[in-house]
Parts: sequence; C-alpha cells; structure tokens
Amino acid sequence: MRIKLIGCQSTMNEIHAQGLNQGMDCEFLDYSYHARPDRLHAKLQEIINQSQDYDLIILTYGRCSNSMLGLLSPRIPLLFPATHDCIGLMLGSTARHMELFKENSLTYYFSQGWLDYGRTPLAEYCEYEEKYGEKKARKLIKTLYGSYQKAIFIKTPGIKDLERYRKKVQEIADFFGWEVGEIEGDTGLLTSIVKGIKVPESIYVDGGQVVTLEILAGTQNGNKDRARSRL
Amino acid sequence: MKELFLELKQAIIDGDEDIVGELSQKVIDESINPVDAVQEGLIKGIEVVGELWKAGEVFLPDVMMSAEAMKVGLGLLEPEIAKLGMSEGESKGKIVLGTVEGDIHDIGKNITGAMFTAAGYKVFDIGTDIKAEDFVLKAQEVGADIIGASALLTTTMSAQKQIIDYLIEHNLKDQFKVFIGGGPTSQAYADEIGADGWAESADEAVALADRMLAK
Repeated sequence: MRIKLIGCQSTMNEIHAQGLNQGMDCEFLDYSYHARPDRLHAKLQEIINQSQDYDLIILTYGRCSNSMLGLLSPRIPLLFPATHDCIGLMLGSTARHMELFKENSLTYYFSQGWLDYGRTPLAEYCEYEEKYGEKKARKLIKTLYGSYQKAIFIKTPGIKDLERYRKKVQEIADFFGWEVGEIEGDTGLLTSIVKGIKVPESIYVDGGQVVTLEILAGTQNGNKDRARSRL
Repeated sequence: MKELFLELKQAIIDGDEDIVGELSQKVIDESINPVDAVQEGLIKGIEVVGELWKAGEVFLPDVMMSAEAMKVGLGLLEPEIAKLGMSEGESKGKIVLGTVEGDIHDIGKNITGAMFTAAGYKVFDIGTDIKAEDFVLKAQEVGADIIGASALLTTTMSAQKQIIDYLIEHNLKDQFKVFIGGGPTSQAYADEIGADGWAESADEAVALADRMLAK
C-alpha cells in the first residue's frame, strides 16, 4: 500500500520521534497556515490532487477552522483525526480537550511543534513592535492575547531538551502575566492515524466524497465505525 | 469647534486612543455638542478607515487600532449624550455584537463594530465570552434589530446555535435577525443552524444588514 502523508509541522516531531514516517511519502506544511484556513484548504486540495496515484492519503489536520471542509479526493480515500485542532490531537482526544476547555477556556496551549515552528504570541509581539512601535504593539497584542490566563505545555514524544521548551513557555507566560502549567500529552490517536488505522476518533472519507460539515461534525461524537480495522 | 472635530477625525484615522480620549474629554469639559463630536469627528474618521480598508490601503492592525480608539471616544461621549438627554440622531438600526461563550477572540468583532458604526448603525458591543442569554437580554434591553455573534473556534461555534435555540425557546426568534461570523463559520453552517445572515467580512456584514433591514 502506498501512503501519502500530508502533515502539519505541529505533528512532525512526534511522527519522526516514533519513526512513523518510514515507508510513506511525507509532506509537512508550514505552521503559518494555521492562521489562514482558506490558504490551508487550497494547499491541501492541491496536494490531494497531485497524490491520486497513492492508495491512501493521511492528513494530520483536524477541523482546523474548518479548513478541511469541502476537500475532495477524487479517487483515493482520506484519513484524518476528528479533533478540532492539534491541541486535541496532542491531548489524545476531543473529549479530553473539551474537558480541559470547560475547566478553563482561557488557556493557551503550547506543544514542541508550536514552539519550534510556530509563531508564538511573543514572536508576534516583536514583529508588531518593529512595525508599529511599542505603544501600538502592546495594545494590539493585548487585544489578541490579553484575555488568556494560563500557558500549558503539552509534553509529547520527541522532546530532546525539556528545559529549553520550559524556558520558552515561561518567557512567553511572563511577558503576558500568565500562570504556567504542564500536561502529559497522548499521541495514541495520532499514532493510529499515521499508521493508517481507523479508530473511533478518526475520519475516513472515501474517494470521490466531499468532506462535509456532517462528516466533520458526526464523527466529533464518535465514529460509527468503531471496530478497529487495519486498512 | 470645527477644528476639534477634524482633530478627532484624524485621531481615529491614526488609531490613537490617547488623543481621542483627550479630545473627547475636551468636548465634555468645554460643553461642546457631543452628538456633533460623534457624528463629525469619530464617525467621519472611522468612515475613512472603512473606505481605506475596503480599498486595501490599510492593514488589519491599523483598523484594529482605529476601532479601539473609536470605542474610547464613544465610551466618553455616549454617557454625556445620555446625561444631557440628547438624541444621537437617527440610526439605520441597532446591533448587539459579541463573541460567544468560551471564546475570547475580540478583533473580528471589534472591526465589525467599527464598520457598522461607520455605516450609521448604533452598535452595542457586549464583549467576549458572552452567554446566549446575555446576547438576548441586551438585545431586548436596547431594542436591537440584529444580534451579531462571533466565533473563531470550531469548539465554540456551536454556541452560535445556542443563541438561536434560546430565541426559539423563548418565542423571540421573529424579533431579531441573528448574524453569525468568524473564521470557521460559513453560509452552509448559518443555514444549518437557522441564522438569518452570515458574512465573510465586516463590510459584507454591513451590506447584508442594509439589505435585510431595508425590507
């Protein structure tokens, strides 16, 4: 079976650390698509179109601001996680994500990928400061992130230097005056999907079938296809 | 006086909330007509920003700063207008705007608010992380035409539906038009949950409101 993996950089370290990329063609896309669902959608569709000579296309994207909505793989099935985004994916399930979200929705989550490849709120501030000066930059960043109260670092496989990440998170949290916490991640769902295994929290879409809201939403509550089956 | 209004207008265009604050205070201290200050100063300024934004001549942070400055000015002048028992003049309609429960994304809503103000609507911005019930209570209190609910997360967009469900439950659905917006939302989603309007951008939302309320 020939597999094409289209992944977000947010999942790259974990996939590499577990050697899951062996035997498949992987393409990891830039983190900055996070903020542009329209562009992410277009890019994913483009790669899907170019990958129709594979047997399966695996994506490590969740709903990601509904970037996945409307995608169509003409002939080849798609498999991806039914999580809202990489937070749920790194926590292992939507249920766990939502439980924590209910506990405190004002938490900003960090993962190693986010810190290595993403644009952290502090990096964003520095960009604004250069462009608009300190006064406007502070105002902007406060509007963007001022309501968050806590930074939580999700620990996942592949972390080589935990202290380095801790320091980064602390630095960002200090700038915004956030509390800091850590939580153990769970890459079980990610691992299953990258291995091509259908699990309750995966979404499997046949070739020729458009990804609809129903497909995205229906599986949020548990996939009908509960039997674990190797494709 | 004319000079002061021009300065207010310019301060809105510059997105300088400190100067807008100072000038608005001056309007109050010198007993200058606050309605004129809003109409001739603040709104004229945000109109310019709205046009520049549509033309692609200013960037998002600039619009954000102007919207923030606008809030500061209105925050000072509106209570004064109310205190003096003056009318702010005819508005095209009233809109209650907020970001839904669990969601603290502020920017899209602020810009939408600024654009609606620029277009002649009376905007009631009730903030972020707002419960369905609170949207409706505010809309009832001010006699709003439109409830605008923003959601920027797929985890929170279901709260937009809760507003509509609340209205249906309380037999209020006919009284307000519900507009939804935000990154993960779409026309299809708006149709699915029974929202009256959806727009991709703030200026499209204004155009939609114009069409809908003109009926």
